[in-house]
Amino acid sequence: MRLGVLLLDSPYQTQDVDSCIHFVEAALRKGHEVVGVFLLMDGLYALNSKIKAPGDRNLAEEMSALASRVRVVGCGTCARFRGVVKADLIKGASLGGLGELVEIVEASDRFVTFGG
Amino acid sequence: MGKEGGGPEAGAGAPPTGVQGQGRTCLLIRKAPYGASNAAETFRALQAFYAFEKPVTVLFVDDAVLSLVRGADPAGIGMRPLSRAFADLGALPGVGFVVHLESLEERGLRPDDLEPPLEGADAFRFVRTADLEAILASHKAIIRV
Repeated sequence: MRLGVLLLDSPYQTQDVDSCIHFVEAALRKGHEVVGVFLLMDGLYALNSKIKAPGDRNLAEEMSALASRVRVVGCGTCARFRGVVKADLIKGASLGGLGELVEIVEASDRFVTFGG
Repeated sequence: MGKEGGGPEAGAGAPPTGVQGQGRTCLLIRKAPYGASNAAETFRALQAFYAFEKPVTVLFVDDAVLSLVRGADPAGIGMRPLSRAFADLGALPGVGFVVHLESLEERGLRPDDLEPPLEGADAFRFVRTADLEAILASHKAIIRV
């Protein structure tokens, strides 16, 4: 099955980033194709490479590991509104327009939203 | 897409036409405008689906129905009114709006209190709770923003 994923909430505020990552990892382990993960609104913060998490899981690193396996795209407009620039992003992630979200939805058999 | 089923009582019985089809995406919104960015982001997503010529329905439930209240003017807090913007896009082909009637009524509102889409709107429907399941099931994907 082809899966699309949307993430709306920021890391550490809720469990949503963790759940998103674990969901995608589990789907890949089960042999599903993940068409893309789109990060909208505060979900964009999960792409911030400057995240440090002393003594805790580093969600940016986990997201970067994910981005090495699946397409991970942050909303470019959301990034501008939050002062996030391309240089801030974790390795493997990119910024794009909402057209990329449309593409992911269209290419997916199932679409799952985390947060919001 | 037909126009059958329009009007405030369209929710009774079968789901309204104009908002169905395996290729449609549903943008489900439940939060009020201005207090959070969800409504504005839904509007942006709606623009993107229209730009890519992908049929899309916006489903307004709970406080999200306030996004369509006619005459809302958030200029005092430095924001632009979403109601007129949504209504303008609702007039475009392939764009459908569904408003949950009970959510309106719980807030003391009636369909007449909402900003109507421009002439020629493809779909602007009001539905009851009993019809929501069929509405959601009729879409290819549901994006809860």
